[in-house]
Amino acid sequence: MTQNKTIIRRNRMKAYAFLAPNFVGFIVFTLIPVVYAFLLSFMEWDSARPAVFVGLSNYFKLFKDTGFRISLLNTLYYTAITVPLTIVFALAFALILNEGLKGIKLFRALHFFPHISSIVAVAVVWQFLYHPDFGPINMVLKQIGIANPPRWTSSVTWAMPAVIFMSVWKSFGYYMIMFIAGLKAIPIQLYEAAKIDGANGWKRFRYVTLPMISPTMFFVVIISIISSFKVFAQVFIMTEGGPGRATSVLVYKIYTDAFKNFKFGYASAEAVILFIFILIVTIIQYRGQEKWVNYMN
Amino acid sequence: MKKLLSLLLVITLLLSLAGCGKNSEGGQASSSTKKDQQEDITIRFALWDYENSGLQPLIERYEAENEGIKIDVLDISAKEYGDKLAIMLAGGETIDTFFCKTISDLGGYVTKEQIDPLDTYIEADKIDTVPYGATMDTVNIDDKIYGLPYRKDFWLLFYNKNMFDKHGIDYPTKDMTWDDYREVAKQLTSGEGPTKEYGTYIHTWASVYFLQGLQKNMGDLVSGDYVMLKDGLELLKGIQLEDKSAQDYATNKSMGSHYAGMMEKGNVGMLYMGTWQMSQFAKMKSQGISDEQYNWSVAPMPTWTKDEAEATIGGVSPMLLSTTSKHKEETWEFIKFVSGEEGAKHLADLLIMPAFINEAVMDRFVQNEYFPEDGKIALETEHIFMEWPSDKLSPLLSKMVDEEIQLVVTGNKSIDDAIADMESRRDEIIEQNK
Repeated sequence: MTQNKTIIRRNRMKAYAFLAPNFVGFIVFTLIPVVYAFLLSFMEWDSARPAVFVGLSNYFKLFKDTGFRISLLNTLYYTAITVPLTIVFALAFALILNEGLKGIKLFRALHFFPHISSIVAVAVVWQFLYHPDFGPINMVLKQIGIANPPRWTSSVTWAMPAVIFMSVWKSFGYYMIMFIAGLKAIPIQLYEAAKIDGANGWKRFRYVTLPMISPTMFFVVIISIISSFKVFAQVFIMTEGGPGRATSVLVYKIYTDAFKNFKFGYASAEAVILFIFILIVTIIQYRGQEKWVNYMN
Repeated sequence: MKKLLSLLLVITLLLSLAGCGKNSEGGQASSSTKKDQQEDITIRFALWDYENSGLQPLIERYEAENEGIKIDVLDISAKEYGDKLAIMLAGGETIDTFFCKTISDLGGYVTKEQIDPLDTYIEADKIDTVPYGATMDTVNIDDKIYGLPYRKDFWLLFYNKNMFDKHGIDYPTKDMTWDDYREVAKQLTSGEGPTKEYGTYIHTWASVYFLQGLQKNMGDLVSGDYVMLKDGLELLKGIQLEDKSAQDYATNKSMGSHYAGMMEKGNVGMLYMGTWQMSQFAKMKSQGISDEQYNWSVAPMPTWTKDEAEATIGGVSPMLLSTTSKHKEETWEFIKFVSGEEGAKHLADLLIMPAFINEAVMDRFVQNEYFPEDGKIALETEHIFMEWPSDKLSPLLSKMVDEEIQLVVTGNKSIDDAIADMESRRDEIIEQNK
């Protein structure tokens, strides 16, 4: 018995030792700031003078702030288009690149490339691609007979689609790799059995592939929704929230309120609302997963 | 064996953590002992674009003349200056003195108690504030003087004589109206595609688009009626989108065009910009860029009517004394030097407009061999309106005004709608920041 206890204690010690670096980092860089931000959301603080407790006034102000409303709607718009588009592209390319063709690894690497390149550099390049007069995109559009192509980042209507398209291009490679991993794990006999039963290509995809990769799909949906709620860099570089407030998203608004206007309390309140949004969406998804996610394997 | 290994792991971990703590303490201790040994007083001085500012010789001279004083320059890029400085001050960084880049930030430093009023120093040293002229008013908040103005910049019209000569058009004079400006821009425009020559260049800053409104003397952008902006926006939109005698806003914005670069290429006729640009153009000439390529001069800003007194917009950059400074007396001496006559003369040699202006300084300025002979009239501008008043709402409103102007010049919103929206958004900002 005593022998057992010592072993357990020793193992625990070892476990804590291995966990410690990560936990220290988590507590210092994540937990404390999060709690701090939550407390700040009830205060007014300009970073110089002492913070003043103001109760819920920041939250009341939020409801009257048209800038916040616009940013929230823009974020929802961005998420609603970006997430399905990314998943469709990622899955389609995963299916194509899952074949055992020659040189396929190179193609996989190429599609993963946008994900590993710096978002800042990428956004600057896309800014040029979208240039209304000299940008390659509009040059091509003009060549194929579109006389007045969209003015992309300088048009209120097209600025957001421009940001969305770039973000999809940037991130689908990452999710594609996850899907490929999911596809590789599907036992080949399932397809063989389906084939014998007379299932065509679409049916095999619908009734074998999709259910089998549903855990991957679930993961991808959650991660991509969270990351699209957090969209910032591409907006910051490409449009600065403009023209007007057409591409102002929540995190951009939080950034400007905190680090341009020095309203840290107010910005923290906005961040708390963003957190609640992400939390609700994620809870709904966890609840819903029982209906469509298949863990049988 | 395993036990030993895990113990070792724990120990190294603890040691490394403890090491971190010790290291930083040790670092502090050693730097403070260093200070004691040297006896030198170090004044930490934050400014933007040190390398291009031409201030280096002035600072070196000060160090040479004042033994025991070291000036530690904290160089911040112009674009990030306001934000970065605010964060450093908030973070408790030791900065003894710094330049205030835009006067609208000054109010913030005062309310955050980050700068000291200078009245007692000014009285004790019997500083004559007359040479600073009206710039003293801009550093006066609640009857206290916060900072000594170091440079003042106002906007004027730069033009490329070569372009005017080529088309046989008279150089701009002080009588030029905005309608004349539009007409001249049209006449100077020729060609198509990449070799096109433009009559003028209109930069992407909001101030470029609202200064015509401020010239109307209908109040500032915090409390004035935004209707004042209407004529200016119509004019600039017409020049860009109808006459096409200037590259349009969207192109400039997405190409990240730089106004000076556009002029230096020699295919742009006119540019209205601040006096800070003179020193750069002068430097170019001193580096041997020939007049054939780019031959510049300056005229006063165009106005709305012919007989209107010249009016333009501008700003003042004061030098401030940080509340947290440990060497306030020494820092004050340094501020007095840089913002006083000595500093002003140095600036004049660089063709930078100092805030301190007396006859000696002005002579140094216009006698500069790189200053265009016919440009003197531009310096006699009578009325200088502040771009943004020193008000806590200025930064918030300036972002809003910028957004709405952007919508107008990219053709996303009509001018009247934008003005109406600016009014309602101002009400909202006032309401939200009571």
